[in-house]
Amino acid sequence: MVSSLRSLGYAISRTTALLVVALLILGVLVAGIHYYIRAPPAAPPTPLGLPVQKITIITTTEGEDPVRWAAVQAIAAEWRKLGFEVEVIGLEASMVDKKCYYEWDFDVCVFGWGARVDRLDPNLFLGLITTEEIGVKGEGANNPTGYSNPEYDRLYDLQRRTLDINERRRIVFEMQRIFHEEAPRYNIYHKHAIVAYRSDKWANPIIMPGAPLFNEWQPYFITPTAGGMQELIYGSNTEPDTLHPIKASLIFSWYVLKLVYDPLVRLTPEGKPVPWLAEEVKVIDPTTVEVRLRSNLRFHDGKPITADDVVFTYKYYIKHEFAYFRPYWRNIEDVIKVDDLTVRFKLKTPDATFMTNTLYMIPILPKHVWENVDPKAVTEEQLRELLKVGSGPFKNPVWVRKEYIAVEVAPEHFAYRGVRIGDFEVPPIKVSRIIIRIYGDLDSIVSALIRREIDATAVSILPGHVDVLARYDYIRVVKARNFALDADLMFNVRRSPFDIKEIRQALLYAIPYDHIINVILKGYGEKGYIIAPVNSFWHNPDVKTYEYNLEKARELLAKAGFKWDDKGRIYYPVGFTPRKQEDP
Amino acid sequence: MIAYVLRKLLFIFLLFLLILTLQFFLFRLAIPDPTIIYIREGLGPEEREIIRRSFGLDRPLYEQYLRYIVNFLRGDMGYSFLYKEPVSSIIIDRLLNTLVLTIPATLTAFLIAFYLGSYMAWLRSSLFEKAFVATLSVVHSLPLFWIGMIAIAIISVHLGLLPAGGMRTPPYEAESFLDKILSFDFLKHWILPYTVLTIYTASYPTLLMRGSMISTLGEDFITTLKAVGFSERIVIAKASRYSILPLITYMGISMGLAFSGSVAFETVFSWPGVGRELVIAFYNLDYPLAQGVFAVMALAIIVINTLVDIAYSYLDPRIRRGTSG
Amino acid sequence: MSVLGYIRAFLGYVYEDKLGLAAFTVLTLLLVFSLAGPLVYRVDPHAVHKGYEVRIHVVDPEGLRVRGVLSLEMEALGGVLTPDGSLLLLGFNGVLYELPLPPLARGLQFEGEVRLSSSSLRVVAENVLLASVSHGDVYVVSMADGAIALDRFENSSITRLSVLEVGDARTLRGVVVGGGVVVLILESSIVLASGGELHSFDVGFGLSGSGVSCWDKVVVGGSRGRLVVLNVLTGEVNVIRVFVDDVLHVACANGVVYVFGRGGSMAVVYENLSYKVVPTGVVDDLVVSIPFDGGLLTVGSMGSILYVEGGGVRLAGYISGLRGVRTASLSSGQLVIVSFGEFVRDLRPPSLEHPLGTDYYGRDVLAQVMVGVRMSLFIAFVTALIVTFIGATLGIVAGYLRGRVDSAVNSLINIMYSIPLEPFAVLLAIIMKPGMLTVILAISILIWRTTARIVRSQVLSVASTPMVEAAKAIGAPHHRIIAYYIVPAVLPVILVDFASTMVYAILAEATLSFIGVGPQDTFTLGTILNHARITGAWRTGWWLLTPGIFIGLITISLYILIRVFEPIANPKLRRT
Repeated sequence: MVSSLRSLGYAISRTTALLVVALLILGVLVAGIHYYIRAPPAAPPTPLGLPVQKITIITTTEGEDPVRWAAVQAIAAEWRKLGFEVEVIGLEASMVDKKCYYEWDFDVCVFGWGARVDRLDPNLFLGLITTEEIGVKGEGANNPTGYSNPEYDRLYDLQRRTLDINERRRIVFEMQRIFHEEAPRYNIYHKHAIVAYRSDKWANPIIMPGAPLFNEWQPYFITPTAGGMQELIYGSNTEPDTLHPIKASLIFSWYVLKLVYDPLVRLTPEGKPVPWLAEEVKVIDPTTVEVRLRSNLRFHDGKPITADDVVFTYKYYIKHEFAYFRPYWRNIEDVIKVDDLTVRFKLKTPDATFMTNTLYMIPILPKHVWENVDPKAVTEEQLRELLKVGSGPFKNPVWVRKEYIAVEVAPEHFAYRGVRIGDFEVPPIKVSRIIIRIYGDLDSIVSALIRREIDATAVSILPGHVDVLARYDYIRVVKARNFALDADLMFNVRRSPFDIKEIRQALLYAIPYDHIINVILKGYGEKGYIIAPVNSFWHNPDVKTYEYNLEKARELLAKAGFKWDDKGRIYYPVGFTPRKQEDP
Repeated sequence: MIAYVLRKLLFIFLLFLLILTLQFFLFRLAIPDPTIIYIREGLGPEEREIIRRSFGLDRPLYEQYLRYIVNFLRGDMGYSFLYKEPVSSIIIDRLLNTLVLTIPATLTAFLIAFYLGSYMAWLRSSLFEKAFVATLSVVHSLPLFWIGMIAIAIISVHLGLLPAGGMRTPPYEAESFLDKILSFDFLKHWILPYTVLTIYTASYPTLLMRGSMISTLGEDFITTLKAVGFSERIVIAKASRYSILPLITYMGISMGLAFSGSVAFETVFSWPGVGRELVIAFYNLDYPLAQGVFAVMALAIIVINTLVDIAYSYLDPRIRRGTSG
Repeated sequence: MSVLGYIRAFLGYVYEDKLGLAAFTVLTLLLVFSLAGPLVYRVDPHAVHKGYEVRIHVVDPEGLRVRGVLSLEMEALGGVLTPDGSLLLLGFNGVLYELPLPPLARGLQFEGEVRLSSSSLRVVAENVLLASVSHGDVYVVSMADGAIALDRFENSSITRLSVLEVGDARTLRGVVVGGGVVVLILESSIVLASGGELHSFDVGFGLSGSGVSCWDKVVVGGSRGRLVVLNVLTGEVNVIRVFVDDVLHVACANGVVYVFGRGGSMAVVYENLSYKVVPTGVVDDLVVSIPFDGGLLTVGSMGSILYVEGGGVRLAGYISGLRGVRTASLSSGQLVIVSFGEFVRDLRPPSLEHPLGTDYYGRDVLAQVMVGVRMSLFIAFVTALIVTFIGATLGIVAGYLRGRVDSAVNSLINIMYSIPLEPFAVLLAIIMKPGMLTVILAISILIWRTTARIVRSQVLSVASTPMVEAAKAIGAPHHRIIAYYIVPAVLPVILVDFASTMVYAILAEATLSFIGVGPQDTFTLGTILNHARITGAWRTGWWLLTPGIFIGLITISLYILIRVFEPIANPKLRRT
């Protein structure tokens, strides 16, 4: 038996070898014949220029964002109809940034910019195509398209220095017009945020653009159906990087930290700045801002909040070069205490975003706690102690990584029983504790909501979950418009044909917007802008938009001199030398 | 013998050092700049430069390497870029979370495998045995995460019996890890993933044990034992003792895998384990954390392999002779 | 023996074991299914299945429960509900159909499974441009000899009211009748017809086609939040902007004009043309309002229902499952909502048309599974080839040469065992990109460890047989000994291990695709499961979990085959 097995082995090994060789020969033959047949290209009947090279679209993977992936696939299919050869490459998020932002090695790149309340101010998004933001290759500034327009740059500078809000709005409108007309980058759609909460336990949540349920105003507005105070439990699939206020560098971390530490100014649900710890913010001259504090403020340990703490906090952040806040503090020349409750900020240049960004983002830390702390050498235990003395509406954060974060209400806070700021009415807090549970993925959050393990979703769930949750009468799904740039499409204008404005426009006319919104987003989205319609004060309603229109796209291409061969493949105009990206 | 142990230890140490060096350079070659992730947070080149400096990434590579190795040998695995905390504390926490699930599951699974496998070999060709083999094969042929998804859908969501994920119902206060797991609440969260994992882990070794047992039962000495008139129980006991070797080998591998957890499984059950943490570390380009996790896993596997070697030599005298001579 | 002889021998072994035969048959069928299937079942797995449909939902306006659904497969350009409870549908060919809605039975349910067919449609008129309702009356506008004819629809018949000579009738968007005048809304102009005279007003921007006569004015909605207010007495035209989204419809109630737009925008306009924006809390396009209970009941395109009263608005709730709502009316206490247009056939349960249903994007699951089985088998096969090659080579070399080589290979195997598969694959996907190559590489770089281990131990036992010792003693070169004695002896083990590796690779592929490392532009069984989970669709569509069963079928068949062949590979296990 053993010997027969051996012979079986021999035979198999011999036959396998023979088979492999035979297959190899066959493969080479087939490939050769194939090449021979395809090799001689048919001479074009009409004079054509050079063929347009293959367009490579770099975007994030399907796992990162299924909608963006499907949308890019749909766009590629339409562009192919125009005669372009298109390839889509899906990379992990950080590698997309590396390729596009660091190496500028792309034709078209599609990623996005998240919503953050301070981004309702148009400064960041409009800055995405300025010359200054092109920066240096390998450093990763915000404008990898390479688009440069002196007029646009001038307006950008001007809007930032213009303190009169209506005048600034006029400039911002004009910039949006140029942005959409020139189209070096274009946001294809805004997804609607879809969130859900338990309507048997809570009522009347406040819905903010960009942060529908999980936002800093929610504890004031959401009301327990049973009355009294209740624990509000969110479910999330992300968590803070750290709660260390001089290290935390993620949006999510600051959502939590903003509960524990108060800034001088907060933004209303509509994005309007209102004085918060400040009683009043006065612009004395374009580079001097004076802030007067409320008189009844206390830290969580009972010590009063004074001008000293404000001066200390700002200087502390500047001294320790806290990178995450650098965009906010780098324009500050000096912070001066005027009296116990008054602080004066000296700015290097006039800055229209000082109220909405700087004063809103930087929280006030207690001087007596942090004074002698070296932020780099804080251990976990020390941090827990440090966080006990905050200035915000919630206190005593407890955090078990990957499991939950909890903060409890601070009854000593000035807005605990509600407060009225101008015509903005803040009701009393009705949440005794906020708990954020961390789950593995969105699907687990949905399961948890159905099981009533959580009260509300902190992050946006998927259109596919809407009909599932509709079956449960104790769950209410809320949809909200958003201003995030969910599919920020960039053309590399260093390369032909994207250096030609009409070609960029033609490609934008060949995007199936309705298909993306109705089929891929299932209707939970809308056409994209650089400043979204939900940001109604800054959004320019007369801005040019692109509709899906292949005819118009072909017309624009033809007008630019592009031609098609009989197979429908597109060619450059005769005599046109395509621009290649040169390395500086 | 002492020389043998010392040689083995030195070998382990050198192997470990090699692994550390390899991954240090691999990560740095594969992932150039970990501050890429802050582009989305709106940080410009200058801000990210400050962050790089604070991580010591502006230093020359050899200096970073030496510092890393020296610190590592002193027990300091560095700071996580993402969490801004010492890597070791993160790893210990997450590893315990994983182990509290995988070690009991693996142990139970192999206990089941040993007894059930022997029993099934004894009942060979009966209808019961065939049905069982079929069931186990089916369990083993399906993806683990898929079984988990269906278990959650039925038991947690549809019947509402057990929590859908996580380790404890928050908020809870726990002084230590032991404090955290010694509670009924933990048990409620733990039982479903534990059961699924146990059944899944047990499926293959049971079949393995059964196969091994069948072959042992075919050996001459068993026939002799039976012929001499030993009772059935004693014959089974003897036979299973001789059939356990493949199971031990496989158990060594499973124990090693227990330290790495399963990403898909941990995701489905929202279990804050080490596998998911490692994937998160990769996505956030947090290579001190990734290196740390890898190093700990490697160490665990090496140690377990050594233990398996020892167990083997204890159970199979032939190997003992082989090593000493 | 010839090759055929070996195949016969192989089949013989399989045939001996009934289970083995079954497994072999299943595998063969799966192969045939995945290779030949696409030739018979010619459905593109990437194609999004769409179809024109008219759907009628009957809803209880108090509890917002759906009482009945009717659907009709036809294309429609427009449609209105008449006060007497029938539906007027405007087809693409300019034909206006009347569809009498079936009566509601006891318990306010439609009788049984009413599926209307196109035969229940009655042609009312031809060359119709649009139908609209103004103040409870139904008007039909059609082309008549190059001019526009305005008819009133009543009791299933039409009466001609007037014929208007308007420039380009094809751009007609809507019509408003009331206060003794007719206002035609064209693409970017409006035409006022009063007393036989036509006045045209060019506004220079797009109009939505909806308008209402209120006070002594006609208010017409336009793009980007603009309203055209035409004073029918003076002919004065005002344009105001109330919000930034396109206006979809306007309604007049309680002496104010309510303006509704895309994205849930809403505004109230007073007679002096002052206005105020009202936040609605919904994001759907607000498409139609019906007078209800002293106020308005407004329906959104995706099923939101709002109550509008005295300048305020209250969200009554959502009706789930609604898409593309176009019109609605209240008849006999029921809210009838009509949606039509091109719908994606997404998440359809198995049917004759789609035997395994459709997925979240409306793609055919069966076609995907065919590709998936093929790709999964392909990935598994290639992986197993690589794994077997590396593993067997290293195992043979280590087992044969022993000594330093053996211990080096052994430590390499140990290092490999210390790397977990999933994180390793994620790392590879970050460095390269998620895809088939990444999956194959990730599995093969790691998994040869098992093969090497098994082969090595087998070689160790073979290498100490007297035959090999003898060959060594007479000084036969190593490659000869390996080729003539070692390889044939371990080949059966390698082949069995090849099958086990395939099993492992199929499961690993599914797991890796599930965590997002798998191929993105094609389907594998794992990516279909991944889709089902990341789109949240698996909760609605159980059929999206069927790829799990296919995975099970493949792996279990392979297992059974392994079990059949194991006794041959390892004679010790042979049944005695």
